[in-house]
Amino acid sequence: MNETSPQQALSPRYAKQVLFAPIGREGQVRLARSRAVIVGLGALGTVSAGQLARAGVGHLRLVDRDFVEVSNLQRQVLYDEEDAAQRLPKAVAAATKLRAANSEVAVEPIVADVTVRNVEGLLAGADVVIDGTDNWETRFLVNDACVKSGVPWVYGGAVGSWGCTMAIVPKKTPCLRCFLANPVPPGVGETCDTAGVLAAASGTVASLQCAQALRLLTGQPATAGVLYVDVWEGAFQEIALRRRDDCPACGERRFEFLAGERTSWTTVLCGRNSVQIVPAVEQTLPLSELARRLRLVGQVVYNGFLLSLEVEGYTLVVFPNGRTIVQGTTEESVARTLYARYVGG
Amino acid sequence: MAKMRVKLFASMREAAGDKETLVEVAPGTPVREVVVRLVERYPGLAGRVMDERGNLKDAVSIFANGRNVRLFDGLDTRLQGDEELAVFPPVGGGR
Repeated sequence: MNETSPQQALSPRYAKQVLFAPIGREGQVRLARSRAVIVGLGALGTVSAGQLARAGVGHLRLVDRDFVEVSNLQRQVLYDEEDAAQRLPKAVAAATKLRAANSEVAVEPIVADVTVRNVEGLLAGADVVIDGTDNWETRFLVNDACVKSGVPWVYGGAVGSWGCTMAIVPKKTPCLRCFLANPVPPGVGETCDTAGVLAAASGTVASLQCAQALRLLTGQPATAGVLYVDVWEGAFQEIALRRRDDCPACGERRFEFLAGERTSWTTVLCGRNSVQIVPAVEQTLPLSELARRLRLVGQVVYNGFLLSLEVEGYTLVVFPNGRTIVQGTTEESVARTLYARYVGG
Repeated sequence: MAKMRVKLFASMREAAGDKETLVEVAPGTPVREVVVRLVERYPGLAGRVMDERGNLKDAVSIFANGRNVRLFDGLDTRLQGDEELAVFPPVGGGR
């Protein structure tokens, strides 16, 4: 893996991008010297990683906790059937594809669950961070780490035919906590695994994220506000947003998620082949509503007190306060993935 | 009375069958009143924005001129009447 040289940056490979005036030769050289971290390599992250590698961003760090499955292939554009058959870690499979697409960029795959303990190290040195995650908890952690270190990041989300994106430039634009204050509690929002997702939606959102990343990496201001898109309706809508003076993160610089004060707690239950997840914020889950949604994806038993879901060879037992026991694994990352996928995040 | 533009997004738009509407609002009207009138106009929104106890549902955000009303008095936040309101579920997925 070699860092891209300025000469390489101006190779015919990038001719069309260099012709685009806002980037030009100078911008291309800047991209070659830039480092991006992509957190999560699913529907959003694979599209972003592919575009940034082909665009000639010199160094890409790819972080993901999951492995490739056949159900990913409809939208997670870097993977193929062989990757799924081998259950390759997504970061590893993605790195192979990106190196084949552009051997001039350095690709660094990291198979890891982003947590309070490792987030700052994983994002260190980044010029921009791209959100490819599937849950609010990780986004709030990334927001804290990026606001603290002054690194811009680009939020993206996609469910069904809709998507949403916002570039966050610390001290200049509103941050995620200016937007939402707190993570949307698990179990109440739609997730890709209960509401589905069109590749057109995730691909559009990731493309919008990449355009913002290219702006930022070439020294141009991000566009303001939250952009909402519905690819089925063919509609875009911008929501104006303002910074909060009393924002705990970008206003008062209290990084509650980074301090571990607001992060869910995962414990391996010894001898039970189970992992327990306690959500960040105490809550009351609408279990009957959750049961109705989850019946579309697996075997659900709801007895009025707790809900159990059998899916993918695991059993998730969900309590009304959001506490969940994932049976069938002692891997915290597997449990967190299943939790984000079915209970929500 | 000012006419306030209310925009609906994502599943709110599907439930209402409409993208945006105008609601007449006197200065000092709480957001809750606008939600009640929206539900009257679009019965599909019943139970989607407010729960049975009259609380804003967790999965829904309402922005008045770019500010999340949760950061003020939630559904009791009082409006001038000339704001633009946006009602939507923040999009969390990505895998």
